[in-house]
Amino acid sequence: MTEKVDNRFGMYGGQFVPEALMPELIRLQDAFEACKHDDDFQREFHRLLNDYAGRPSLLYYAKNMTEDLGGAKIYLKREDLNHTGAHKINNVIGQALLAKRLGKTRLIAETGAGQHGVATATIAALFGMDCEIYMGKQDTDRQRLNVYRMELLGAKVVPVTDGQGLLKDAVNAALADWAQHAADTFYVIGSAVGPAPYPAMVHEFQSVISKESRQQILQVEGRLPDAIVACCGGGSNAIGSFADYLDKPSVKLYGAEAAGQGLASGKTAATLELGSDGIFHGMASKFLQNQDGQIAKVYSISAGLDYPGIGPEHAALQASGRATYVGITDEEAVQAFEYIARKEGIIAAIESSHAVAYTEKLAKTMTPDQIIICTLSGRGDKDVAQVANYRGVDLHD
Amino acid sequence: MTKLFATKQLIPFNVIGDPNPAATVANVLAQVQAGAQLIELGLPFSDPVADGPAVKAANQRALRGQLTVAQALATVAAIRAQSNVALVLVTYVNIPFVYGFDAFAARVAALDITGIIVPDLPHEEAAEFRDSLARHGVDLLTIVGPASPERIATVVAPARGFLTVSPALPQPILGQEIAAIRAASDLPIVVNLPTADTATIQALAPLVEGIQLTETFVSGAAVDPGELARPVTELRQALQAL
Repeated sequence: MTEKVDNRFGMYGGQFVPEALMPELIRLQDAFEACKHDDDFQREFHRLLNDYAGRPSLLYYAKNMTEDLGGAKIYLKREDLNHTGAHKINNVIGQALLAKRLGKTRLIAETGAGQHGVATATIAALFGMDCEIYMGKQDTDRQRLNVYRMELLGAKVVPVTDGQGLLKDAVNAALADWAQHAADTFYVIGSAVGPAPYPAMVHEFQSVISKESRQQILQVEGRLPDAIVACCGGGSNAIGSFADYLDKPSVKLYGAEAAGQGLASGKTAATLELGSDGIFHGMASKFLQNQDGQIAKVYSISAGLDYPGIGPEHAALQASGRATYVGITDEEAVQAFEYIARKEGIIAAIESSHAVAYTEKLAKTMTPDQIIICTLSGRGDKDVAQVANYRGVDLHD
Repeated sequence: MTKLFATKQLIPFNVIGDPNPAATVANVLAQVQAGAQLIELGLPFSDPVADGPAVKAANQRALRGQLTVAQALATVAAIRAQSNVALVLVTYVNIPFVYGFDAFAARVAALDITGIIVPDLPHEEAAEFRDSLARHGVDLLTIVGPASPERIATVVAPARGFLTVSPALPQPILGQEIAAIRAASDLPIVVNLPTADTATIQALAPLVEGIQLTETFVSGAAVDPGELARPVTELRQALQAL
């Protein structure tokens, strides 16, 4: 066994899982630590990122938005242009390579909006592995296109009817599957959540986003940006967007979380603004919960952001003041979805539109010599029908 | 606790408040009447990830009536007022964490709880809560997982009370695992099963000091408590027949 690894981000993180999963987590932790310094692994990981996922992703100067808003210069980190249409594939490639090293033949995953499920199903097809995706029943209903995409790729999609039938319930079901089938099964967690080493793994594999954006902005502007904005459900694209700037205090970091119908509405998923310390899904972090510690119901228009917890590293970044987290309502996100479509000709995911909405607000408070990089975590084709529905347009006529 | 295991124990599991607190009190007292000397009580949690569908449904039934942790603990107090049976509390870690580990330890000590099982608190994370409980004279009970012989010595080192083997694997793996645990610890060993018939109990009896049954006494419907508790007598006899 390797030396004891620090599992914590400040007071958050840890490994709160049943004893039955501990041997598996320890093997995974050892394999993950080893892969960081393994040239073969790194070569294969970057080969797939470049040749298969289509990296590096573009850093695009959003001239129309910049001029329209009249504040800071806005650059968009285009994770929506990756193969499968979101940042999720970066992490899935890394974890699936680890799964192969550990001799696993079956991948399972949870998914909210379906982006992580599609990415997992894609890599399972590429690697010739069995694949089963857990998705809340409400999410299979509002993201039917992604369900069919996963099935096309050869995965089995299991609608989870427990609880609210949302992302949290899909994680519960995937954890239960993993506890039973750990011998041949690898649980590919899509967000920066769960027991160690998952949050650190997702950080590592998603950090390619900020490693690239840092090089790209230095090339174009000759300096670091003043602010990074990313949407934040469990926090995978946000931590990837922040990672390479964490040690650069001049770069402000902003996470846009889902305020749903408003922070005071009771229909929200703004964990960092409204949550409290707790231990759930394998990690100490912040959660939306009642005074007894019962996990609360959540709501957002976005199936990718309606999670009652948050990655432990984000809880720590908020506690230390290094990053700031702000709530964006459904209405603000839908307006941003429409705004970026008209201004830049980009249909961004409803999740990413939360980041766009905050970028609009932030840019106006800054000056033209300042720079914001906003991560577009995914593309929005999957959301078109739902946004139409939100606006009262019936596409099924 | 060791004295309690001088005879082999059949240990019923109940979710507090399923379907209501009064039913839990009546069911537990009926289990005592039927011969149970050690009973497990689960504090309901919104997301009992380590439990199977029957226990998950029991948790949901209990919480549907907005049962609070204070009301659940008051239900334990009501049982304690009528019986001195040994009680073990089962809870997911978030409940005592949010309550405050030390305050929770003091509260359960006042209820004369013998030990606490926390399914999502593995050895590596257990020290803080174990210390809080120890200060109040309550044992944090240890779960030993299947097929992890390399962890047995580490996991049982700080253990007190009794050890739970969960989930119970089929023979002969279970027999080998129990032999490995015996080599590392003198504590009584209990296996965890959802349900069991007399034949299963008799087959396991030579290996262990106790058997926990997590689903046999979970019903949810309005069942006569005496009827629900009846298997205690028969299964206990099977366990102690040797």
